Amino acid sequence: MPLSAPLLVVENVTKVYASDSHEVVALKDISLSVEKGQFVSIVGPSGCGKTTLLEILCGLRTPSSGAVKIKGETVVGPHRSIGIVFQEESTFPWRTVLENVEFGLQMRGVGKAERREKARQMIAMVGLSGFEDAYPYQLSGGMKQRVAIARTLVTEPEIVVMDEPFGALDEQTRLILGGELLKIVEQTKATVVLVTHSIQEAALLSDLIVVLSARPGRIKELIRSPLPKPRDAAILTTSEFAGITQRIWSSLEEEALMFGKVNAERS
Amino acid sequence: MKKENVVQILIVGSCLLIYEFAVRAGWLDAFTFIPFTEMIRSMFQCLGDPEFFWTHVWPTFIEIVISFVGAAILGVGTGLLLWRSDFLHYAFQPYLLLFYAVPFFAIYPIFITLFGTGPVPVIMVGILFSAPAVISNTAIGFRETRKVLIKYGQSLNLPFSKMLWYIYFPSAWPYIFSGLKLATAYSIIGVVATEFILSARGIGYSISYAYNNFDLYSMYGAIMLVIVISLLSNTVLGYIENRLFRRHS
Repeated sequence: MPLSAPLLVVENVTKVYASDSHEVVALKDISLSVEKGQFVSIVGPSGCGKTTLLEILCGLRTPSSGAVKIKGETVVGPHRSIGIVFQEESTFPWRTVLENVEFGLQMRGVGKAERREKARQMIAMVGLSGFEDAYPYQLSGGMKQRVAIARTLVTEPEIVVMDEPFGALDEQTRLILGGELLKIVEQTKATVVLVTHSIQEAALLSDLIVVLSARPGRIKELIRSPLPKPRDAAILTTSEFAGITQRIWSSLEEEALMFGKVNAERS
Repeated sequence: MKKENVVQILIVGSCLLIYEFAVRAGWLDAFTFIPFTEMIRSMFQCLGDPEFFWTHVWPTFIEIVISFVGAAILGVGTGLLLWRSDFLHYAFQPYLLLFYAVPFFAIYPIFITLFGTGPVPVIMVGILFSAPAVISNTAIGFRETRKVLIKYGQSLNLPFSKMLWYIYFPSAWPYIFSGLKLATAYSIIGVVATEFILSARGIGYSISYAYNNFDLYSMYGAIMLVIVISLLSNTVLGYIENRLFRRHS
């Protein structure tokens, strides 16, 4: 068991969205700690505040109460050691693949030769060698997400936060990319927090799966994956894999049903 | 050359041929129409006459350029303000939307009383007439910047100046450029039309002078000049646009 202090700690985070007429509690009392090198997935029924939680982790939103700490330091704004991969297509259409990937380094004032070299290595790592000078419109959705991943990893963040990065892709591409992501993450030793609605994806990639409840989002269950690492797509057919997807599913199912009921009563 | 270009040229070419033939055969009223070849000849005569060129063509050209540059600066600047301030945006939106619905040149007597005659009012009208296109396009362009690109910039902790230069501007540029293209056309219209009514020189003045003196030959020559200026500026802008946006259209 880890002896060092956890890398990322979420302490009693609550988020309330207030409008003139009513308040919506998006997240309630979330506490979580993530160890260095861990791959954590957050799953939950739609509308449970997954993205809100992620944006709070990244410092893009402030919690109504509670705090997020990185290495003991409270997060007040976007933190240098966190890199984000968004769900939507987020590459710059006016920049080539290489220019997109080097952007973060350029903004940090890294010299041209050095940042180009690093960007090229990262592009190779995500399997896009030969596409350095292509523009995003010339790439498929999966390739654009590879660019987005490379662009984030190239700045060597300690924590990579991903908001359904493969959400817009088909199941097949999603699992292939997921497997590759796992390899890359193992090479770069990054800590990953991933939001997903794919149970298979969560089971395939994670060491720890956080199941959130329907709104207001609370932690319903923390599932530690017994699956050995390193993993590849071959694990998809094993009975251990089936066991873990089953556990996630049954935990989620109650929530999904409850959320459905609440919605049905409302309408 | 592509097939559609051949068709385009054939259409223009045959229209001109038919027109030329119709005038020369006497089907069209000779008090109103002159052959196309004569128009071209007259245009080159205007250009070849140093006095005409320096008193009429050159000032008009300079006025158009100043009007365009003025509209671009004023338009992008004001557009930026309207983007940053929701208050200004909502306050001025209706005026911008209605601007081109109002027959601007119908109020020319007011221009004369306000600005007098000469090159200054010509340029003022040119700028006033073309700036709103740039303002609204700039404001829209910045407002349309995709949220996820902004979030990405924020996640890198970029200061506003870098957000503006590396994210907002490149993202809004296609919109701003359409505004600038409109501004070119409106600058030409604004300058030439104002010269019609409150100037004693320039291409617009020459057209109306020649018209009032039944000098069809000079009138069509000057009209051809305006058309050539529009076509040229359009070609130049089209070329720039192609070079800039071919990469990520």
